[in-house]
Amino acid sequence: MTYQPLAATAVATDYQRNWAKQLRQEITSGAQYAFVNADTPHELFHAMGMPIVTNQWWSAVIAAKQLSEYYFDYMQGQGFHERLARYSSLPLIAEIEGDTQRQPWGGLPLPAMLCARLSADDHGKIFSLWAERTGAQLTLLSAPAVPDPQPDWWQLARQDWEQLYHSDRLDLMVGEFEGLIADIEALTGRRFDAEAFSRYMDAIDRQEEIFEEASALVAEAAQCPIRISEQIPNVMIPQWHRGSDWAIDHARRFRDELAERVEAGTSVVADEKIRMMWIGAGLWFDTGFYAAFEQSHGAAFVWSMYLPFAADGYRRASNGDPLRALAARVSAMNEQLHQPPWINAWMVEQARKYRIDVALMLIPQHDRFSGHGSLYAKAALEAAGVKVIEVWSDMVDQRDWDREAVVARITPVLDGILEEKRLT
Amino acid sequence: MEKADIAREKLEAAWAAADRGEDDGGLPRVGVFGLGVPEGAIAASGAVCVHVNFGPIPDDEPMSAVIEPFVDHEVRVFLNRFALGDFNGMTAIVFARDDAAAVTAYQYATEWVRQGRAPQGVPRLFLFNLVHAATAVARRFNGIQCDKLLDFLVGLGLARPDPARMTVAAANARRRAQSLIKASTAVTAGMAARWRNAGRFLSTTLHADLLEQAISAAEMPQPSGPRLALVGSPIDAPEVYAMLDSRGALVADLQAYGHFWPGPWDEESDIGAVAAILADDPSCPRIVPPQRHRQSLVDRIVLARCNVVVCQLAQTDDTFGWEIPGLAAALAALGITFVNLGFRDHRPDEQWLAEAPQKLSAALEVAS
Ligand code: SF4
Ligand code: SF4
Repeated sequence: MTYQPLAATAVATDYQRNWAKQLRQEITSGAQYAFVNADTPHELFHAMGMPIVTNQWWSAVIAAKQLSEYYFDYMQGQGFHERLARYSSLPLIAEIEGDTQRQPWGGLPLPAMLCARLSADDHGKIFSLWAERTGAQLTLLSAPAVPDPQPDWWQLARQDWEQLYHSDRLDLMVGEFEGLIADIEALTGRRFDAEAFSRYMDAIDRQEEIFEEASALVAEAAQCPIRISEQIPNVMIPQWHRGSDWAIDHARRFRDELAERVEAGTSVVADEKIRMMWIGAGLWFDTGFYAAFEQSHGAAFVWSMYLPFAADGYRRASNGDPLRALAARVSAMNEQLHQPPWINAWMVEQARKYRIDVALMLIPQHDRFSGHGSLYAKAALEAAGVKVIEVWSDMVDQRDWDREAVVARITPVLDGILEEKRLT
Repeated sequence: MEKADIAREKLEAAWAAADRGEDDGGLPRVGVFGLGVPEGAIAASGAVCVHVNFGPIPDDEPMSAVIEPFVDHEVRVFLNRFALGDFNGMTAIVFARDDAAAVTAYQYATEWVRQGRAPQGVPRLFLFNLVHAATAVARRFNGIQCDKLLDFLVGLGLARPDPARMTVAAANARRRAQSLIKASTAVTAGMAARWRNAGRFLSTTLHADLLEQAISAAEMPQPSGPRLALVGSPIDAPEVYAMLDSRGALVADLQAYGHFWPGPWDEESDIGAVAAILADDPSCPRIVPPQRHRQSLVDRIVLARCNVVVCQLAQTDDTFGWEIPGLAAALAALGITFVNLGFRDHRPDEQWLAEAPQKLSAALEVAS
């Protein structure tokens, strides 16, 4: 049986392509835009009709043009050492290098605004270098830590976020949002419409509820109905446009198509024997790798963080104060993926829900903010009966990527599981 | 033995023993991890601050399975010692959120405790969450964090750091700061650094007393040779100081284990003023706006009339590296030489120690 892609996937990628074209049109013809990090309140910019370019997205666009290697070399030539974060700085390096003709879109015009959150120390550094280069106004959102992180955050975060994230932190974040809103108002001459914003936040919640249903479908289906290489774009693309009519429609389209597959008993492998989890960022330059063990072991990658995180990371009831609910969403956004006990508890919960046998865990060597908690998570998964294979990031560096070597490491583990299950 | 010699020996011994020293006058010991903790307030509560990130490498590493290779050396050492019960007997440990090593140490240690894997009797852990921003909302937030710290101290059974107690603590900190300035011109930079860092394990008053006694017999050498600054990752390796001392006069030690500690905030008696100075401290890499960090380095280098700036990095650096090209360019524009000695271990190995002086000599030649 050959795997049939979802119809929804092409719809999503087409939409994204058109959207990118439009965005390019808009900003290259002079519209003011903001250049922002992934963990900032995109909702505020969307609500105010100010276009944004996301650092991590633009980084992927540059990488897709096969330019990373050139820029990494350039970066070192400029005196930035090789252990600094790379993917979150690719756009900055391209900006410093300055040859706009080399860049996608013939380069980005100067942003009117820059925004990042100080979750990791280097985010402030990278964005301040942007600000120095471009003269754009820089907003840095504070990131005090949650001193008493409760393990089951995804349950408390829905309704009881005030208690989970703490009032002093939320007051601070709301105060900083208000400053950001005032800045956007001053730049665009538009007013922040609190009522429209409230409706927009409700729409986002509806969208994430649909993704929650989709996640349950994948988790509970007898056999996995969809490859993670398709989960990712069907979630990420509507998430970039969260709360828009198209995004909600698409979430429905995706969920319904999944439901049909489950109903029809369609699955990635006909006789599924091993269920795997892919922990970490996507392997975008070799997505075919995700299918590497389907034939040999009846093993499917059934889990990647994007789909379940759409619900757990984003659903925050407004509790009568949508701006505060947004603060709750943003105030620990990536800490939940990178800090014990949040990450270990969530991994175990997800592994249980998705009935996982093996986890492939990507651990960065140097981008340490996104690697913290990895080994705590590994230990917790193992204690929960999941086999964990560590994959250090130099192995998935496109320049050194050796698919066969990685397959050779994983194969004996999968052989062992089949034996344990007496399925050979 | 002369009083001064005794004082010098005591300072050296305190530095060598680190948190294992016993010169605490019988006061309750509160551990401190990171730059940016209001230590004056802790002292005003009747405790002695003892830094926990300078101790020896333990023989056993009970937490090694959960510590990734990119975690800072001092965090790894602290965590394993924590899990061995090395800090039992301390009343509590206070960590600075905006110190990258400290926040990781706090989070990993807290999780170890939550999982029930820490030995009986480990101290309570407190995260001091102050943010380095100057807006009105940040000021309000920081005020709350100070209140939380004071309440925490009281909850430990310590005295509330009221204005009278804060005034005494601030006066002690000012006296100590005066002695440190004198020490910095009285002895070699390596010795001055050890004497200064000895204070991380002593009460402020005892530290100030010992410094005053030790300096009274000091030789007061006129600094000779090129004027050096040191920047980059936190470093206290004696070998590196000895190397710098042999090449010039280290007059600006601009890193977290250098002149950044003790901080000026501890010289204030009003807790609001303490918080304001802390939040405005440009030596913190998380200061907003971030450009202020590099600018303050340049300003201090110029003020100290340095000819050469020496940079070095811990193997785990992911932050200071972003400053290097900009700093080098700003210094070049001022005619100041910048030399990067690159990555080094916590205690640099022989190869590093052999190559570093060569790089430095080459830079000094260019500078002269
Ligand atoms: S994988 Fe995600 S970040 Fe990358 S291009 Fe697709 S939607 Fe954008
Ligand atoms: S993987 Fe972590 S650090 Fe990277 S974009 Fe996602 S949340 Fe941020």
